[in-house]
Amino acid sequence: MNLPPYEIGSYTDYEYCDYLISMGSNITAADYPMQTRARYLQKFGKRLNPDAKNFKHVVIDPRFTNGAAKATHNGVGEWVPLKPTTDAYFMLGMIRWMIENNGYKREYLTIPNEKVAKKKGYRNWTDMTYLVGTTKPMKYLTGKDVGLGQSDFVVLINGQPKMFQEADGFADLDASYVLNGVEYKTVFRLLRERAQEHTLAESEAVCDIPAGTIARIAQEFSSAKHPAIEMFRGPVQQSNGWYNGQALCIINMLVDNIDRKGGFISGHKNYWGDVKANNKRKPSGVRADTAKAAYQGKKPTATRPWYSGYAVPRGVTPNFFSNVRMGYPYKNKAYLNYYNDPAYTMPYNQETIEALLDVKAMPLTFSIDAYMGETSALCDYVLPDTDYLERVGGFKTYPPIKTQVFGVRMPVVGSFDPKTHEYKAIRPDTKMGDDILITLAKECGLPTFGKDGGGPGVNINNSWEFWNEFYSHKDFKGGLDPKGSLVKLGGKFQNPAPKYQYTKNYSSGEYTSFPGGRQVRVLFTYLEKVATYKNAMTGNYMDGLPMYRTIVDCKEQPLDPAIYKEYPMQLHTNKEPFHTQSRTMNNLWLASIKPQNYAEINPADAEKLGVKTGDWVKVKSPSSEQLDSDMYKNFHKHIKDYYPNYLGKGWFKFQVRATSRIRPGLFSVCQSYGRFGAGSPKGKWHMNGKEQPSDERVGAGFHINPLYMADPVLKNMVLVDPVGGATQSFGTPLRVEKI
Amino acid sequence: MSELGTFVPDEVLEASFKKPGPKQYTLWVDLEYCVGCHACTMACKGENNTPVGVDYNRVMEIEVGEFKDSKEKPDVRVYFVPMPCMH
Repeated sequence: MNLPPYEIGSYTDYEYCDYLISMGSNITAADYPMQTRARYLQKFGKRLNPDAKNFKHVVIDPRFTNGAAKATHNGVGEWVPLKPTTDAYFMLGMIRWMIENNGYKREYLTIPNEKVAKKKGYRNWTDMTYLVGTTKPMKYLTGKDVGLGQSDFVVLINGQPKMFQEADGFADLDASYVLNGVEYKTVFRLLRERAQEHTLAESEAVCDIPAGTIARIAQEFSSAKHPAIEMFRGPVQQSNGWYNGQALCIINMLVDNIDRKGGFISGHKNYWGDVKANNKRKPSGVRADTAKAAYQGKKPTATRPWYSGYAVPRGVTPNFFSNVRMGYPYKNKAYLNYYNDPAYTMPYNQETIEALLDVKAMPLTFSIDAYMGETSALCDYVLPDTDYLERVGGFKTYPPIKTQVFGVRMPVVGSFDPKTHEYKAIRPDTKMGDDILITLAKECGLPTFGKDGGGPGVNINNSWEFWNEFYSHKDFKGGLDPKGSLVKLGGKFQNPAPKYQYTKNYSSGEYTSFPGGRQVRVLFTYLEKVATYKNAMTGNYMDGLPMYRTIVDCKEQPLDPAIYKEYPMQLHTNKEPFHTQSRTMNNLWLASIKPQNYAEINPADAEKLGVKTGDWVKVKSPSSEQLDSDMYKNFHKHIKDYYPNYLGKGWFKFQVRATSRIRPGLFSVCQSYGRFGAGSPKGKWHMNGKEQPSDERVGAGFHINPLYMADPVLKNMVLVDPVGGATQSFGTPLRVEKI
Repeated sequence: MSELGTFVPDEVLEASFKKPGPKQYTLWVDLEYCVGCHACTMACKGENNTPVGVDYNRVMEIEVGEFKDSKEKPDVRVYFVPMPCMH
């Protein structure tokens, strides 16, 4: 699907939307950019929107988020407390209802090509009428296969195959065609059959929501004027994440709201500069996290998972640390950590900590960090970075802003050497992160740095010189000239008047104009690139359409149902609007707002356990007992320091708070507390033989990451989406007992 | 908002504008816009430079209703109420 990667992806145009479903999107408390989105929703969506009176916001989330609080504030919106990991059932259920009850835009979905789309006044069209084979690997039927001579898609016009680009009118939507004994079905038919694998009642039972909810929401959604369903990390950060994201995009396609005014908008190109150099070096070989590549081993199946470059554009961190410990696919010699704190943030972080402590697995480690974070504390060398107020750089636009924007960041303290533009930081021994990287690059002799690094006469010796060059090309000119408009204005901004945001050139309705971005395009429902990619662990082809699944392991098998009997509760995490995950607890002002976190449970569970707010419980997961095994022998020496609430044999103790903001069956912990670095006394460190100051307020509260469940096949890594590479960030089965 | 009993009806407000004599200023916070981010607490802290643990401004999170049975539609509401000290 040529929408951006699911992880951040698209947002809704709140200003003109009148029915918004937020699926696992903690709007007003998280997301990029949080404040802008909160303002757009509350002010432009609910007050100034021409449809403000009819605006309904449905929040689908296991927790009653701040966004849900705002949605239900005036009694119009709704909270659907979905059981974690069951998103696919809800969304495929919605798709089923919409297909069976004519809740989709039929005309739009039957458009086969750009010519017909233009004639009918549409800017984009879908692949719903294209034919796909039913034998694995399921590929699109090509003109060559039918004898029409070309390798492009084939559609059916009144039952007869035709090249998609030759069609002059609408193509058959729900149809199939038999060629040489093989049946080829339209994407729409495949989707309908997939959605009909489960009834709505079955889906509602899995989602654990009141009967009739899916049909009601789907009916309201498809009959609204400008409906949109959006997500953030909730649906995608799980082992069925890729398919959940795909299902969500398909729901939007069914109601024709993609790139529409008031619809699901994927943003546009940013302003962009460039540092020109002909001899830029590119990475080569197999990545240490075996991502972005097909399995290249000699045996038919691999012992560790591999992730496709199409579906995993960014890499898979947990797989890196587990691979490193096993020396797969090769041994690690050195590790440089930057802008990351995996020892604290990684679900199932015992593997990360053990890898960093194991000299054989990671013999040489470096970290560039502004604080002595958990990861830096475990590294051999720390290169102190400057903070955000001492940086040169820039920041791009996010989809809520419908015109082009680029913010320029300049240091507000410290000073530049007037001749060399070398930055002098206010704290001794600190250096801008970019300066550290450029110095390293120069020392390593990388071709595009140092004298003439950016071409003849253009030196790249430091951060200022890099960004000055970046801001001299493409959309920018003049570089970091202090008298130029770029630095004076703090960025480059397009006129945000509505005429630049929307276009009226299409008779079927208004579209966002996306300056510099995609204008006319086909949207893919069926993903052939996924369907032709093999799971390295099983050798089986993956599926090109969303699937009804909850948690799956690396071999795409569901968890053993016996686990859920022994571990009936579910792990869940949440976020406060005033904290980030690993960078704010050492700010004592922010820490003072809520000095500690609690394990939040529903009052019904509290009654069942016989506890009340402030009481202590002990909790364990199916794999937490591994902490006492040989697998984590180095970490085990420190576990009582880092996790004073560890009781042994896989049990951790937590203080609970009963609240109706959490659905029953959940054990929810805010992910900013329980620090064992960044100034917490749990992670003491020394410099020149002197113990450095710490503050117990930084380390207050609880951290839940060691309780994440390991993949039952791999045993040493958190469950990861075999398609999209996302970690299973919640839903681990837990056993909770009163102490 | 009926649970909180703090809503000022329009006519009461209008009447107060018409009253003769010196005016008393008040701070009107539109609770619909408050998303509970506590940024006002931090801004106040920055302005007044109060020590950690002393906040002139606070935001209350008030939870109303109860939700215990997943087979029933939840009836929970949460209100964020900023409490400035009016200085």
